Amino acid sequence: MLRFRLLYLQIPAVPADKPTNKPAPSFKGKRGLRLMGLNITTDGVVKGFFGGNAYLAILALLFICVFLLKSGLGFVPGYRVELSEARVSGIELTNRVRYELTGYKALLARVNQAFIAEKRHLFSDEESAIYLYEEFEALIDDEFEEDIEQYVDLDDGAEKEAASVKLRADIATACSTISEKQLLLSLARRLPDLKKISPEARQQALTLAQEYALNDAETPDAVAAISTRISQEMGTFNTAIQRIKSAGKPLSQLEATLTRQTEETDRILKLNRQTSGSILALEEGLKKAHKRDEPSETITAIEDRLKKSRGSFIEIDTEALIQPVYQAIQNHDLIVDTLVSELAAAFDTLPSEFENKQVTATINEARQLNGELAVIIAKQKENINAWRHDKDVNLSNALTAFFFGSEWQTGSPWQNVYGLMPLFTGSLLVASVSLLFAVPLAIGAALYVNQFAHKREAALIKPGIEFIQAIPSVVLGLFGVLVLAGLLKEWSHSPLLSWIPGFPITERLNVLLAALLLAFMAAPTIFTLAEDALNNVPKAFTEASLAMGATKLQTAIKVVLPASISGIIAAIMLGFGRVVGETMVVLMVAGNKAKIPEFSEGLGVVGQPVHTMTSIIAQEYGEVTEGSLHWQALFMVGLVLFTISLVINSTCQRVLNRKTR
Amino acid sequence: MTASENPFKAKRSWTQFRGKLGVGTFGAATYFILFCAVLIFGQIAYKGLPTFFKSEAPYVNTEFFTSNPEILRVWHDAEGNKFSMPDKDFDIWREKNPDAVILDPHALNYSAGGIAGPLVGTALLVFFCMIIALSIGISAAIYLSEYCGKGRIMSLIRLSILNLAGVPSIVFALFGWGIFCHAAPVIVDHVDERSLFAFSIGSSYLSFQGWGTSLLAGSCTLAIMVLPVIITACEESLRAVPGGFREASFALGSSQWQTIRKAVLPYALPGILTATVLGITRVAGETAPIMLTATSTDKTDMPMQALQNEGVWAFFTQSVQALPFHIYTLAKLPDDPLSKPMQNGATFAFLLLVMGFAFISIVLRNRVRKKLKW
Repeated sequence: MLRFRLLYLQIPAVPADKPTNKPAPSFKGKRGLRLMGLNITTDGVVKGFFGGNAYLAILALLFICVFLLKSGLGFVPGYRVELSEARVSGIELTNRVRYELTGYKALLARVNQAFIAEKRHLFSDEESAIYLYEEFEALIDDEFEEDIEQYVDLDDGAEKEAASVKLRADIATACSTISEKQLLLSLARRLPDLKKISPEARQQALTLAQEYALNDAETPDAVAAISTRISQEMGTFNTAIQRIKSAGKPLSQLEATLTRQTEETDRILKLNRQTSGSILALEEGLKKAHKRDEPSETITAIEDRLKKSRGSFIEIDTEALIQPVYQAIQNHDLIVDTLVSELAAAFDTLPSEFENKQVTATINEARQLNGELAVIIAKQKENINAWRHDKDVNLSNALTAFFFGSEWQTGSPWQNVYGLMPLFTGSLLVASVSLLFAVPLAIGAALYVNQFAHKREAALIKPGIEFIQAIPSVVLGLFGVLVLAGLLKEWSHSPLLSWIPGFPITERLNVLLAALLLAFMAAPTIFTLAEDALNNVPKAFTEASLAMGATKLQTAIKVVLPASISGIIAAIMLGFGRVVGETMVVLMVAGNKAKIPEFSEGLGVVGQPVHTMTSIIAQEYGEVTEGSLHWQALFMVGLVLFTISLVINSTCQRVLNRKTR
Repeated sequence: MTASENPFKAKRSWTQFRGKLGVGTFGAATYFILFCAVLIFGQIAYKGLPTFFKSEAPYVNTEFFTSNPEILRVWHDAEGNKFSMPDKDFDIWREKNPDAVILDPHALNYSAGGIAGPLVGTALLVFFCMIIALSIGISAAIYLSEYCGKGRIMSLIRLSILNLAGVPSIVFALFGWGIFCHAAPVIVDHVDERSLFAFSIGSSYLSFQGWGTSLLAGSCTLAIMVLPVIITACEESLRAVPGGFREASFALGSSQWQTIRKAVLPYALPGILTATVLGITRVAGETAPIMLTATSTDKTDMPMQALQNEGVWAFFTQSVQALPFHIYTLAKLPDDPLSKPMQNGATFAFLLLVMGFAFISIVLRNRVRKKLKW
């Protein structure tokens, strides 16, 4: 207990013998100020003062727990009301359809991406020619407007012939003055992977532009012809993509219908909740006013407002409003079944290999998404068919929705969702990866300092490592953002390090970066506590082992380490607690994306951005209104953090306590 | 076997080699941690030092320490030369050169001036926080160590205080934000709508509407955060004073308060001082609590101005700038080479400040360990 206290808080250890707190019986007569039958002595006052302060401190700390608990737990009933409104109005159902639609849209985006990449691969010249032509067209519009008008006004004949030759030449000169670099820059938006403009493409674009000018500034048919040719030659791919696009239309229509139907109901329900709240408050106020015999004007004013509030309460028949939703959803099974079969058929027509490897990879990703979509649809179909708007939402539903909800989405106009899972997994992931780095280093250092280092060396290393503990986290965060983020990304692209899972990293701010910085913060904590645990191993153990002829290393690893293992585990746990509670570093470098990281990528998951429980509080405190559900949700997250740290701390104290007794 | 060979000479064995390798690895781990620390510290110092100095006399960039953060104006002239100037200089310059060509003008926030405001803000926060925390913490420690016994309840209380020392600062921040910024009592003439409840006292009201984002709320939050550390550390140093001192004092007939004042506190003072510095190190480095409770980005004037213009209460309920939050703001600036000197300079100054306190606390602690042996 004592040692823990000293180490964890870095407090000087002084060899103490037990003080006796009882004062010896004083021979001096106690005579103080007598007041209302109380004997007030200086000692009594001083004791009262100190005691008062002590209880003030204890009360303040107790108050934290109560306040957190109260603010947080208010969230559960509030969330229940919100969830039940979402159910009654049908928003919950719409969300389920939206899940399916999101899956479909992700798939469509991939296929589109592949299509565009393939098109660029096969027809880069034609594509760039068309875009170049558009550039030239703008130039002609700017500079040759008068020339074109003059040319058009001419009568047919030799003069016109000569003028056309001159105009052609002028345009060619004007177009050739634009440097290739400039053209590449303006094309970069539309053809990002274009590195060089081929002379043929440029020539073709120029011809088209000249035709445009001579044709009285009307887009020549040849442009459209090129587009048609491209889409014809893309053949099967084109048909497949059209098929995929049209397959999703009924689903998006269904979603739009549902949104239209449910949004209004939800709005009215929310309004009514507000109104009934203010009606209750006004009724209360009216009662109080009557009791206090307030002037009649005040009472009339309150009654007026009450009447107004009652008037604005909108009577709605949720039963009637939900019927169209049920009607719309009847077709859902048919729609999704068709969607699945259509998608499967469309994917079958696509070849498995493309000339361009990138395209093959993207299409394979899309195929994988298609498989996932089928699973999602199968699950949601069941959910949707089982859904009833009048099923009751109870408190445990709300609790489950919070603790196991896989989505944290706030500030959306549709519906705020508070699910802890993305934040919790984010915190856990960052903390475990950082311990992966910190634990070997810190334990190794503790063994070295305690077992092998010279006394003077140890006296230098120990304060050095303790010094690290004092580096403010915001400084480390800034270092991460400005220096390490760039370095890490650069290193991750080097071919020497490509064997590391997750490399190369695409996101600048990610789990790995946060974990590295946090490891640096956790290592001193783990080091100090582990070193102390090693220190507590009785000397006799070491001496016995050495006497048996074991080397120093064997003694350290096979005798000292096992003897102090519980202390070391406690040290690691406290390091974990410190990392989980760290705010600024993760806020600055972990990427702040509230989504459950994709563990399907294996160890590559460390390259993704995450949000954590601590950083969500620091990020969203500014946007909440006092007492709102969002505010309460943040307190709930704080409560979870509080509980985690209390559990870790008290467990560790017990372990360390037992060891030192 | 020849006679000249020493039979007791240690044999080179695999086991020994492995032993050396193992020790080498552990040593490498140790020095790797220290190496990282030196690297980070060196990088920040190397980047930050140039901001502290300038090329002409007096060589120290006093402006950096004595002026507030400012907007930096950047523009080109017709020849493509790049100009940059702090906002206030820019106005003067513009008046002097009304015909100057200004192309592509843009402003970089917080990229000129200095860190005086944040520095003063941090000092104020730490100062008031320590006043609150020490006055409550030392008294509580004296009570816990000298007056109350060692009962079950007391040890439970000690354990809970210890537990609270490990709670993440963001939780304390959240608490302080909820209580001090939004629910603390305040005397006002007009009750705000968001007040929890209000009593009328005479012509004004005691309203529980909180102090808002303010110096007072920030200091209180930090004080509550550091209270467990202070209590535990002070109690430890009080307990370290041998019981014989107290017994001797009681034997001479002194009362308990006299004993504490004359026989216990003087010997515990070095320990309490260490605890104080330790507390300052912790408090000065914290960002999350003050971010939620005390700082705002649109504060630009010095805190003293409120004291002069509006009185003491306004002084305590104004928001302040603070160095750690300032660094956080700087970290979010768009990547521009002209913003770098401020970023690096402020970071290095802050690091030096906190490390200075950490250094003092480590030195003090080692001295206490060596000296105080009864």
